[in-house]
Amino acid sequence: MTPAIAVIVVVAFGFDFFNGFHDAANSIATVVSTRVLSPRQAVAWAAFFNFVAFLVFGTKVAATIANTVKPGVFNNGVIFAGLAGAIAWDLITWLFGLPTSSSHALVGAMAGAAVAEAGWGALVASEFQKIAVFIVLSPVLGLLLGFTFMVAIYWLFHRAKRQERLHRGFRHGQLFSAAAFSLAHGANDAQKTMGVVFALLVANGLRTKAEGVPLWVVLSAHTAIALGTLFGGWRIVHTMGSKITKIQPAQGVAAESAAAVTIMATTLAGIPVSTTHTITGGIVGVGTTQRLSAVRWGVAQRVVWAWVLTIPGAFVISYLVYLPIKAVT
Amino acid sequence: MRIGRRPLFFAALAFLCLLILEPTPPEYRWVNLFAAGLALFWAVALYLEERSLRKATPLRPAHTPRKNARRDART
Repeated sequence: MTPAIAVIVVVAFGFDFFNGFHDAANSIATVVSTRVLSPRQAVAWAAFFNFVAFLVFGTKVAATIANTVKPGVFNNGVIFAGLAGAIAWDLITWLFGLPTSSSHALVGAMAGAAVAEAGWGALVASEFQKIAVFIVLSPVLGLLLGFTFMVAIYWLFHRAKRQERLHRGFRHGQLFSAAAFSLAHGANDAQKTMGVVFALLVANGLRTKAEGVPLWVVLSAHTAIALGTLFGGWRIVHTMGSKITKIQPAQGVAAESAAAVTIMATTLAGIPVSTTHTITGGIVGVGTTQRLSAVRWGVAQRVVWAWVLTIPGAFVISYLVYLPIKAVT
Repeated sequence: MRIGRRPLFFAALAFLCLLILEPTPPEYRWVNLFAAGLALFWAVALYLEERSLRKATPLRPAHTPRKNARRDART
């Protein structure tokens, strides 16, 4: 492995680390706010399930990411520009407080660099079509399942007499729903980075597509996202503390389960989706069982803006980043 | 026929799922159909619930004060 490849691998895992760092709140917010676990325990719980996801799910999402660009187009420059574009987009949106999705940024940025290298023909339309459709479908599915699960909970337990015991039951149920969500998050998001590293190894002749993703890449990607969750969780614990949004345990169980089911199903189908958008959909669905005005529509609106902005924004940045690289090489 | 906001919201979601049916790869179209079916089911269920609630509490003439209004507000 040359130093250039090693540097790009490190950048890719750095992207994965920040993915976990950003998304830690999604996994631990509800269990911490309902005091089921202490912040320290919750962070460790989420990071553990982020890591062990490699034992449960395959690498189909990684293959989809690696197949978004036609064989022969990926080279070190394209992959570096793609990663740089995605990271730059995440930083710009973070600085300006704009909505984003790291997953969509990665897909858009890889496409931008590939188009700069070989034109629009470099993209595999069918793979992008699949990703684009599920950008919309995954939050909608999260919303519908969140609503359905919440109605089912109301329906099953509305006659329960021992409310305190029921409440306690749901608090413990959150341990499982948070674990399921962390497992799904680790599986889908870590595989996006695996796909990029796999494409890099294939482009440099270090691996063939038939051989699949090497185990060290799988373990490194899951380690990076788990460490990101661990550090991101600590930041949340120190800066947010009790400011985490209050949510009832039953609502937390319904929203997290809905998001976990959606992400697990899409992961098994090999489709990269935004875990943040999916859990947002789940929470909106749970809120809709009360009334429409119970939902903070500003959050849902941000998801829609992220759909519109992220892929084109990351595409343009990585396109511009790759032009000087192309001129030099 | 008056339709509340929630049934309309779920009907709109069903419409959205069907709208993106065409660009969805054929092997995943069942997901759109499943989501659209679920959204439509909830749209109909919520509409029926709202309609039955409206029937159960018929509208009063605007000028007649409701009996036990203060007690109702407390409960």
